[in-house]
Amino acid sequence: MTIAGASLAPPVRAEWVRGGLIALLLAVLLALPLFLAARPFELRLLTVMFLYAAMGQAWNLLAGYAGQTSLGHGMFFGIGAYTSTMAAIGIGLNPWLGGLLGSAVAASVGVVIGLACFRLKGHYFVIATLVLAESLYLAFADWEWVGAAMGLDLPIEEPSLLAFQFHRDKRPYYYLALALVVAATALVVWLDRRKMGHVLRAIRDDEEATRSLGFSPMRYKLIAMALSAGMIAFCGTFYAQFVLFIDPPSVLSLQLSVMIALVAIVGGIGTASGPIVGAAVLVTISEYARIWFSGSGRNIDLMLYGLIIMAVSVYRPAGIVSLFGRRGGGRR
Amino acid sequence: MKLLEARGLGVAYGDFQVLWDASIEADKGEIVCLLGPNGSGKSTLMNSLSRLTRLTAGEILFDGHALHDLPPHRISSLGLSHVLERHRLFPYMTVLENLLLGAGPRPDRARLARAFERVYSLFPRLKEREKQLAHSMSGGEQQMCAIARGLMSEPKLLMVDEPFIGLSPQLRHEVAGALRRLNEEGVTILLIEQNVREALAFAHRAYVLRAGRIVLAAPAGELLAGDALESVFFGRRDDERLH
Repeated sequence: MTIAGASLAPPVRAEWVRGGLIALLLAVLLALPLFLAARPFELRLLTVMFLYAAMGQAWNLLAGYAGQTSLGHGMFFGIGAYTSTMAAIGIGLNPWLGGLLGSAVAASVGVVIGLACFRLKGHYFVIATLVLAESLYLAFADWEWVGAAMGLDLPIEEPSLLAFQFHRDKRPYYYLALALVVAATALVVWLDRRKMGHVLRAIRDDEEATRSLGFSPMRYKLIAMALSAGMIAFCGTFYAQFVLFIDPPSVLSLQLSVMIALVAIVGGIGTASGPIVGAAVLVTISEYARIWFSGSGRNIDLMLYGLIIMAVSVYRPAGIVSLFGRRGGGRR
Repeated sequence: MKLLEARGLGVAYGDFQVLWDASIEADKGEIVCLLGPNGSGKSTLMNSLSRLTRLTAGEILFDGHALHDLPPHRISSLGLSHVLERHRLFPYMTVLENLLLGAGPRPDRARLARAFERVYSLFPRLKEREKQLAHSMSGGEQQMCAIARGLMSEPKLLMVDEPFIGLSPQLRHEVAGALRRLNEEGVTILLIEQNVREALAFAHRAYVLRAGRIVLAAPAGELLAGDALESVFFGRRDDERLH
């Protein structure tokens, strides 16, 4: 945005350095699968990491920018996964279209929830989203038409990009997940630099003042909610196509909602790099801790995991990325 | 000609009434001041005019619009701008970003350029500080920035809640000069100020509040000359019968 000869973008040189680093990282990530063909564990780890990073971005848009902390975003993931899967089973809808349909359904549900719950402040909004997500979990676990607690198997298709299914070689999932992160990050960065991003942060910092300047906080929060829910839902469809089986514990659990939030919080709330760093750290730790320390009777992996989250929240409340920034990460 | 005409305003927080039957007017081109001891309801009255506080009674007419039916975010585009108490800038945004937000959701380009030119000529310092984060400026600069942000929507009536609080005499003089210049350009000003003498030297007319009611309304000169003010601030016994 350029007004009266002044630009809102950061200084040009820093932009170049950052652009170079991003290009380098992308090049490495694009080349990596060439070496991972025979390493399904690492390939899966990275794919899941990208998925969480994309979801962290989506959550961050609502919580980090607009200041509306949700602990129920897992419900949008579930809505996406169930919508595209039911549409595929019922009428044979292509999963790409199913994913868009799921996003639209989730965005609408998000708007309805927002209309009802955005009037709640602080902790009450958090509790409302948590309770709604749990209710949806219970409803789906009991609802025969959507497979209840037994879950749903996706219809198996010939592997192709159009069918959004790949069986022997899982590398296409990796690239699609990478595309999801890039798209989600680009959207957040774009919004952040436009007036929309400024208004969202203004609402977070001082809702009353923003209102008196002529902005309707409800309207902006609803837009953030719709975008956030829609993005998460598409990730849900990706997950369904990736695992080819969904049930309430895997796509609607509280644990999922918490993880989506943690990725952004641990990385750096309200920043575009935060969810990426958070996903890289948390997914890596949780997967390796599980291999090394879990097993019957000794769930040390979860303890270790909890310890790291506590350490970050005590020593770096603005998230890991605040280690590198000049301004504390939590505020930009 | 009346720009603002509010009648019988009442405000309550739950069961606790804080403003009773307040009526206030401002003519086009006037500087009007709200005076009164702490907690007398000045900010509440101002917040109720910009609709940030809910009314339990009364009506507000502003430039042909009935404000009492409108939500707060619809007010500024009608030409009423409210600079809140303690400036309330967005601390982690630059001066420029703060000012841009002041222009509201859909400013057109020409108007925006005009508004920027006006606030920068009024407060040249802000132009120098354009890229600086709001919270890193001095208190006086932040207050200037808040007034400038309030001007970005090109209001007909500018309401400022305690513009001089915490400012050095030098900055006070600067801010007062800017407000006077705005007034000469035709902007009507409603302000809250604690320093009675200074406020009355500055304003054309004043309303005096006490314990949630308007107890006096008079031209500034009259208030300066008489002793009615002392009784309001120092609360002589016989004065209680007024309420």
